[in-house]
Amino acid sequence: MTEATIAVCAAPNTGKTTLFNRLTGSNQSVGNWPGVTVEKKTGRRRLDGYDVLFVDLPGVYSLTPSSEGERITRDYLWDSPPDAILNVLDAGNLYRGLGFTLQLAMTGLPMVVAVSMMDEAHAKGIEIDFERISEHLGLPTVPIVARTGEGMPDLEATLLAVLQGKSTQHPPHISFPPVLEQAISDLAREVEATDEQSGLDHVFVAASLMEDADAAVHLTRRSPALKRLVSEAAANRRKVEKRLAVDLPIACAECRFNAARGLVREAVRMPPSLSASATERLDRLLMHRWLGLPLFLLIMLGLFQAMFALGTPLQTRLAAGIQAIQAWLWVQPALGALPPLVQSFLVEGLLAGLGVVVSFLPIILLFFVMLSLVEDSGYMARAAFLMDRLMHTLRLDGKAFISLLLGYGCNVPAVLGTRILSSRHSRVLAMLLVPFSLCSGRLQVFVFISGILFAPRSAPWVVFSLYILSFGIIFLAGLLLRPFRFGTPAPFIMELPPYRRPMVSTVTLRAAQELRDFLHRAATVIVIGVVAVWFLTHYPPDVPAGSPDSLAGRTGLFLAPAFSPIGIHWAETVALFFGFIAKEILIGALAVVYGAPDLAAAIRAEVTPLQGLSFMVFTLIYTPCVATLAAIWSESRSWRVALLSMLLGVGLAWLVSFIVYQGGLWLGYT
Amino acid sequence: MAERDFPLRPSVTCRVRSLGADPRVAQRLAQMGILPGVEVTIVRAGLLGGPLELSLGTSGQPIALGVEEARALECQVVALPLAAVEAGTRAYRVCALRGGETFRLKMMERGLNVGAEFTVERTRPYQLRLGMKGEVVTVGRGEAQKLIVEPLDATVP
Repeated sequence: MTEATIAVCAAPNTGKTTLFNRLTGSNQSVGNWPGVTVEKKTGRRRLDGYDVLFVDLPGVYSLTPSSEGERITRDYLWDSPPDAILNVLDAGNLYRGLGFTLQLAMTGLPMVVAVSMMDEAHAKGIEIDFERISEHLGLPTVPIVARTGEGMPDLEATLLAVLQGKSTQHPPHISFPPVLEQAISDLAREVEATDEQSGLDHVFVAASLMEDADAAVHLTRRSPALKRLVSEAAANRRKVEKRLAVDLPIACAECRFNAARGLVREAVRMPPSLSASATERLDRLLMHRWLGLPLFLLIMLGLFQAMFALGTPLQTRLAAGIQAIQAWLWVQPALGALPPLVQSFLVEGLLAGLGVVVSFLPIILLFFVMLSLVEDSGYMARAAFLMDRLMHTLRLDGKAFISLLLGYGCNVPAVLGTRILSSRHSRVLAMLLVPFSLCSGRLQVFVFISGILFAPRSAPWVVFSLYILSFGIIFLAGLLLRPFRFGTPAPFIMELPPYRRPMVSTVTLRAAQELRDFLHRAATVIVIGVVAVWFLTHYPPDVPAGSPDSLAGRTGLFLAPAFSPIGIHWAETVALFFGFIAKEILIGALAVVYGAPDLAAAIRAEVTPLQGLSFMVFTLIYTPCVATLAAIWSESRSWRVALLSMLLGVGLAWLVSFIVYQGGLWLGYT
Repeated sequence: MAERDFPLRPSVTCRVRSLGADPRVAQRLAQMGILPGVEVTIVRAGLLGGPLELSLGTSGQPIALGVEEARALECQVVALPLAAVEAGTRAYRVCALRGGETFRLKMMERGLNVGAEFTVERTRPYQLRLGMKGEVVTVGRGEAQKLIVEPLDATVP
């Protein structure tokens, strides 16, 4: 069995993922590209004597990097050239992807082009001359329908032939303006004489050295002899740019698209006039100037309602299951033999931590089902379009709204969902804002406390105003963070793909992978966080949990001077420690700390409505729970971002509570 | 680029002259096929200066573009709805009638066939006065939205 690697490489929305899933089935693993949070998917498949590793490269438009995805693709192809490239084109719109296909073909690496969505192209009356395209690209092209699997045997046979070296290929030649052509061919001659190790075509290496300043770093790493050509390439670039009066990457892109246009004109027959497509008709409604936004909100609310209607009962049942296990463990003689501190650690620390992890699973699963439905249907791009103006005031991209809105259900999937955003800046900013949305965990606390401290008629209004406050805080924090740059913001340029029916297999594969990913990355951090809080509240072992003598109690008393200006007693401060595990257990923690049989009466006796309000405001803002924080850390890969999220929360919480409490006192409420 | 030269409203078609000063944006645009010489048509514009949806001339590929990115483009207007035209001495030519049969007939009665040339004498909130071969023709605002015209190099004294 010979090992081989095939890189799957294509522009976005060409059916790359569907083809990748079709090739590797569920035999996939998901990880990250080194150093970045862009997903790396690989899958294995046997092809007649070859054990092939398929690597799914990010969907990009070019090898000339202007985004993280492009950098990954370029670095991958240059630093570890695969045995073959599998490129995918959309049969319905060949021109769009051909510029990239030409660039890939020019690398000189063995390559096959799969032309997908042939069924859609046939339905539109588009005819493609594959021989002509193969001839011009200098490599085999195979028509397929990845959704149904049509043409797959052909594609596999072609890939095999390429791996076995049975297919002769030659890099395509595209025409450049004379001055550029001359510069490239001069340099290519020298590359031919010096470069023995890159494994890439000479013309391509020459063009890359000129077009892309980073190229030198990667190419000389594998082929050090090229070093002496670097300065010559830079000089050539300056000369050509001066003569053409345009940046070289743009001139090169233009040449590729010109070649693509010529090729399409030659090889593709289009019907004379395409009637308004289903996508256009649907967009007239969904992207309507006035109706678009309300419809978007309705669709989102509908999806979130469905998600929580299905997820919450599951969550409750899982939590009940964990509690039952806890109760069962307490009475086990084997456990009784252990010292009380160890017992408590196992049951209230470790198992409770696992319980928190497990209780998030249904919501995360459902969320990613929902997200891939929105993404695969093509609506995500429209959502970004519709929300862009509003989000732009916070320097976020339109898709961030989906995360922020979702945060009102649960912050954890909302943070994971920032993955859909196109730039690191938007992602980090969205992650920092999500924790201020009033999640269902906090809602439970607010309903309980406002029910105790306020009259039945005013309690709903208290909760409602907390929602309004939450919107306000997101906006305020957004404005506070406006001057900061977390990586370069991406310009808003985005394709609007046609609407398509999402495929069950794609959606389920994705959801299952995300779930595994969550367990893999965030679970440990959550358990550690829960255990840490357990330690604070249960140490030293000879005092009751959360009492003034425990570590948490002592810290609470120590912090009392900081909390008295905002009307929060030390006991509530201790409860806030517990709230870090999950906001919904704040109430249970208050019961432990007050140690009173009737919690409602105890709270009514100890806390004034104004102090209660201040406590709720503080709870709303103070810090993301441990699961959210774990998600922020694992998504941003940065302790600093996670720390900033906590500090921002605590700082804002104190300030706003101070204003509420002192303002209330000043107005004469006690 | 002044907004007058490149009105950011639906039905405006323009030919891209250059991709603007920001090399990052320019490169991104180039990769998506928005290149000098390519014609783009604005399909719709978001509310309150939201993004634009463009249709790319060669393939009809829809692309969403932020307003700031669009403003940075240097463009030459190739066709625009009459409603976007300002009064002046520049001559225009009708290049498409985007309406039903009744609309077409109404325009033809006034001599506004495809290919007809005119100047815009005065614009009012509800109607436009056009000068055609010495005669005056009025067109309603709504009608002017459906009348796609191309600016000509010639001006009429």
